[in-house]
Amino acid sequence: MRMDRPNLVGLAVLALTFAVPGTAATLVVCAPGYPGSTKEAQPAMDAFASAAGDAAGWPKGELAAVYFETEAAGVERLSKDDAALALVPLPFYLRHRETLRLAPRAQAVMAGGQASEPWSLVAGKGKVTSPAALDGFELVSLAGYVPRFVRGPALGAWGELPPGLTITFTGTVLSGLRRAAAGEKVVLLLDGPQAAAMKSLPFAANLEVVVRSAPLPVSVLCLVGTRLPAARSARLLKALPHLGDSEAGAAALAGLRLAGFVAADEKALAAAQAAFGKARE
Amino acid sequence: MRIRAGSLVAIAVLAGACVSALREPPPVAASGQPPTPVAGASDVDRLLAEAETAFARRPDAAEVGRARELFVAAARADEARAEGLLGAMRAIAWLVETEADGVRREGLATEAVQLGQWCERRAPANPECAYRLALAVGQQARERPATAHDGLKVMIDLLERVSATAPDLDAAGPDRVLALVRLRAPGWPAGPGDPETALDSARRAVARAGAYPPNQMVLGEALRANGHREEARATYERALALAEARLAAGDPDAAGWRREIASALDALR
Repeated sequence: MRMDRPNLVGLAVLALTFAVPGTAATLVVCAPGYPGSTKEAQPAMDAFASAAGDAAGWPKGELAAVYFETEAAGVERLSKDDAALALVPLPFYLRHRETLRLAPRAQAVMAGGQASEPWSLVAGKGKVTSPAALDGFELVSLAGYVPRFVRGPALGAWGELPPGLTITFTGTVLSGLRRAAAGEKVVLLLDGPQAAAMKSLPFAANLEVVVRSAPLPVSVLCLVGTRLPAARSARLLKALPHLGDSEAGAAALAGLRLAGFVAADEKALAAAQAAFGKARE
Repeated sequence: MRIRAGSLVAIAVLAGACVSALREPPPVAASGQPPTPVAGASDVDRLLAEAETAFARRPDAAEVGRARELFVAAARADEARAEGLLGAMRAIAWLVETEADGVRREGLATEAVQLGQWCERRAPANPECAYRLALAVGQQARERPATAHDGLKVMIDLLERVSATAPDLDAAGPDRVLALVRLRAPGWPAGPGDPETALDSARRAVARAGAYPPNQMVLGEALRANGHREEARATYERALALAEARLAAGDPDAAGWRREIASALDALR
């Protein structure tokens, strides 16, 4: 088929209309205490950025993604101008939402999990029956880098935790579980996958779940301030829940161990923010 | 070329879709270049000797590549023997750590896994087959993250088996590598990472072969991961002294160890 000159010009105009030019935006994924380093995760991040950008109809290369396994590195990266999106766990979001101007727009669903899951307080069998009994204990958790999250959204409904409780952050809770099972004054606040896996431990019979929180959003996808023009963010946010529909999108999600994205549960996030606001640091 | 810090075991994390670490391997004849002229069983000892000589010339990558071809030729020449397969796996493991091209690294790692599977079939009673296969699976996990989830299980099973039957192999290699896997793999419940059991394995490796620098190095790493910084520093200092002595004696791997130790000591200052 022959294409004459005016038609070519017409196509070019059409392309310009749809390919809204924009500067590159970066999605910063930060999950303190979770496995992997920035370098190790980069191939999975590249695949995700490419698939998500394609799904949103963004020009190639305009969405980048990068992972950080420490809070400090994630915060630093999010302070840069191109960091327009953040995918972070709830404790990180609650601590930094004001200073980093994080606006939640969606929730990530982990593979095999739910968008919202409870946190479980685990202790040696018969060791803890009330919040007051935690005086002199050490609480070990992946969420331990935000003690206010532990005292508020996770355990605030159970009661006020005593000042004599030490809250410790670690990505490797197995050691703490061993200590708790051995009768030491250690309790653990476990996330959904950890609590589900607890029964497989050889010393599980010496442990018990003392209390579970209400289901809380696990991972929040946020816009960072107004760094991303509304039209571009709208297209991306509209595309993300359908990312798994394509083969490339499904593979990209699997690379991050995600099942997909759902709309942000504003009510649950507001409740978490309120509980966080009431808790002491 | 620098040997990457991950050494033989670097665990890929955030693994994507799960792919089996072990698949039916192609025939050994599909590995390497066809030898000219075709070698027979009577050539195996000569080929192995030439391969060992070439492998001893590392860090000359071309010589290590030639060693790999000679080892594979020996493996092809006599299907009853496993030494060629084991030698080829050693050479490939070294090449994977020094190759800059990711696609080529992935191909090499996969080839080593396949040779290891043949080794297990040819010589099921030889624990070195299982040991080298475990190392190859570890490298494959790093180069093909989709195999990491299954690969970690395969590695741990193989290494625990060899640790029980041949703990002194490769200067206490089974316990040394178990320690590395447990230090660098994702922790419970995502993976077998566990700094405490890593420290136990590292201590066992040092108890068996304390003069081998990598055993002291993994002990230093395990001590550090468990919060024992001063002990870790002292252990790395010991490792450095051992590596210097090996370097002076002409050990071709000692320069790489020394760089890794220096980096670890810097991080502890």
